[in-house]
Amino acid sequence: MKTLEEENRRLRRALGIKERRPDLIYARVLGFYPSGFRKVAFIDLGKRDGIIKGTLAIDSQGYLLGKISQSFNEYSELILLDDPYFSLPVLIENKTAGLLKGTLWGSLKILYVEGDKNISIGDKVWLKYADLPIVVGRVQRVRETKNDFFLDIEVKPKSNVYSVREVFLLK
Amino acid sequence: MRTTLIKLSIALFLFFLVDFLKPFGFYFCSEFLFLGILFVSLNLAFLYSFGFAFVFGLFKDLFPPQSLLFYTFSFVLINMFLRLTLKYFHGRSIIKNLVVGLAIIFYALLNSIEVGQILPSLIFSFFMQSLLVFFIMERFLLKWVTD
Repeated sequence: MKTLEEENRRLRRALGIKERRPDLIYARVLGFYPSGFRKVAFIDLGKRDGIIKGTLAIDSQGYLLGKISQSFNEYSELILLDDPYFSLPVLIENKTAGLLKGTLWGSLKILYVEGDKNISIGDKVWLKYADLPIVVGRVQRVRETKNDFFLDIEVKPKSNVYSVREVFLLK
Repeated sequence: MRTTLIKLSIALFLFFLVDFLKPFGFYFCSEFLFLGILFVSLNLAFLYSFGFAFVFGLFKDLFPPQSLLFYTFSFVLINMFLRLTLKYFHGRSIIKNLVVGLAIIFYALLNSIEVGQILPSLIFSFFMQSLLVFFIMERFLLKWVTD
């Protein structure tokens, strides 16, 4: 009974988000990379469903979850935000761009942002996809590094990559 | 012996499934299959435990497909380390526990090097969770296998 209610709740949420954004494809998570040191999920859609490498995935709230790293005929490999091999160009407010990287430990890093960009805690980290703003999270910590030209920026993601069971792919 | 081997094969396969399905999400960072390999390495004769480490390491490498045989290599290495150490310190439970702890740290370090990020907090978390689950698992598995 509880499982049915949960299923209903998830489907309602899924339908809601699909109505708002018609370019979304709903996918279920089949399983995960069987390692504690990778954050990779396998989803039930593949090449035959039009899923290609680089396709972005968001959660039911519209926050970025990850991107497709490999696509096979019947399933695809989704690399989650927090995976050490994840990287994606993002924007910090409208101040500057940087490269988002996974750290395996909850928070994310933004690389290659110069010290003079006036980045502050709470700044929105996002990216633009076909005119849609996709939110990643907020800046949690900014540190100047002594010997480096770039800032050390830590980002708290909005999506919960720790318990992903369903995703929406942006086509 | 045959029944024991069949039971252990089933257990290891189920551990692999749990690692793949991750019922606890990423909140649990340890790996059941790895802990199962530790168990067989400690409780079976070298030839059998080596076989299990090799076959299940290969299985993990092939599903999903990997470019390197990382798990085959690390499972076999850990199996040999455990067997060699216990050969000289057989029967001492403190040494056994110490060796299990070392094997967990070694495996966590190998994985960290493989992904290119050595995070002390993650290694510590992996170590604590693995140690706790291993001793619980060992108790139940021993009972089931010897029944």
